[in-house]
Amino acid sequence: MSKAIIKYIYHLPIFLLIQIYILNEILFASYINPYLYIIILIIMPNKIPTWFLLIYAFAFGLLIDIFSGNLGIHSTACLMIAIIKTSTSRITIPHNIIEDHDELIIQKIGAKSFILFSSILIFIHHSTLFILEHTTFNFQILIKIILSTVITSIIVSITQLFFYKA
Amino acid sequence: MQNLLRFIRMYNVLIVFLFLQGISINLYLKNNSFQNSIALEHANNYKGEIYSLTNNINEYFKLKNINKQLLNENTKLYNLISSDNENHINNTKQQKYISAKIINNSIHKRNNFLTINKGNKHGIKAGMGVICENGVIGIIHSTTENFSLIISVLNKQSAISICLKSQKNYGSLKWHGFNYKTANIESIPNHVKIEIGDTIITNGYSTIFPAGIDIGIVNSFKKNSESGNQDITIKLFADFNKLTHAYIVESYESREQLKLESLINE
Repeated sequence: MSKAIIKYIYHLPIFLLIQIYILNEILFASYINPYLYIIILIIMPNKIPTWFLLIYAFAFGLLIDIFSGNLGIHSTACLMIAIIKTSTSRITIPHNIIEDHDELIIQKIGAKSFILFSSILIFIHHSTLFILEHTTFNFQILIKIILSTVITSIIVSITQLFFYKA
Repeated sequence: MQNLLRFIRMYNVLIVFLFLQGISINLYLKNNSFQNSIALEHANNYKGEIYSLTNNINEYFKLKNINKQLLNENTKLYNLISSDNENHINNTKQQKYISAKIINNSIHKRNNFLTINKGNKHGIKAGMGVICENGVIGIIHSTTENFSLIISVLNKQSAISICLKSQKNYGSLKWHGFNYKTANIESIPNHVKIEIGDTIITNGYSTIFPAGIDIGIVNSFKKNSESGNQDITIKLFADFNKLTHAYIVESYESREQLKLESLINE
């Protein structure tokens, strides 16, 4: 378990740099920005203790916040993912497929349940993020949340197909 | 005591969650107003160093665009010299321009900031205006020794006072999010006649920008009977996606004006 924790700690700067330098420069339709960094929270195995997940999510969110100029937005959204992750995985992923220490990736849990599982988490993250950022809720923001969720889901699926091995 | 410990052990996850969520909400609320964003100011220097590293590489890909901008600007300056000599000389006495390179920029967020590679050392102070060759960019928020943070026009907190070039009615420039090419204008009353294509310029009442800097042209307008003010959408001249260089405006008369106006408050 501690081995897994160390692995996630040194994955953090890699994903941070990718998010800040590459993905924050990419815009679809001039305002949709993919947030790939949450992949690391999504695939964490269930065995990782929740308190570690919470602190990790908070630290990661805060680092992204510092580089984007608005404190508190990403860290709130990341904490939302961290708190609902275990219960969501219990609902969406079939039992007996995975061991406790397995990462929640497509090769292990199947495409259908992965897409359902990840898009629920991404939707919650993006809703929190954009509502806090704009401090209102209207039709335009709903469209932005849905489009961003679709694009981030696609990028998350592709990334973990290529870079994570079962 | 034992009951308390058992309670903590039972709900440890919830307690950690609420504690961290409390911190982040607190940070969010505190930093919504720009006077309080101390953390941002401290982070500014380190961020500046990192961004200027990547900017060195990025700049090569933008050379073609920069050349084009410089050519445009040169022709504009030549025109200025030949057309109204007198006016130009008057202007140069009042304002000083400092040029700087933009090393970080964003357009997709609700609150966007820019970072430039000049700071305290080069005479830049918080509250100065920033323009580019074809429009207004924003206002300096905070400075460190070598870098400064700019509140972009594309920010919730930004409000720049403007006027219509043809009629001198004044209003304020706001950005409602989503599209970086357009912005909105508030507090121009219903009775003012506006046409699509009217130019919007800075009005010079505030001490930040000199009067007469182009901002954009009117894209659409609609009368609003509830507020009594028109809903105006304008197309910005400055292309925030392609910004590379900026000019910081230092107004010599602004100090005098501020000193005079502070007498009212005393």
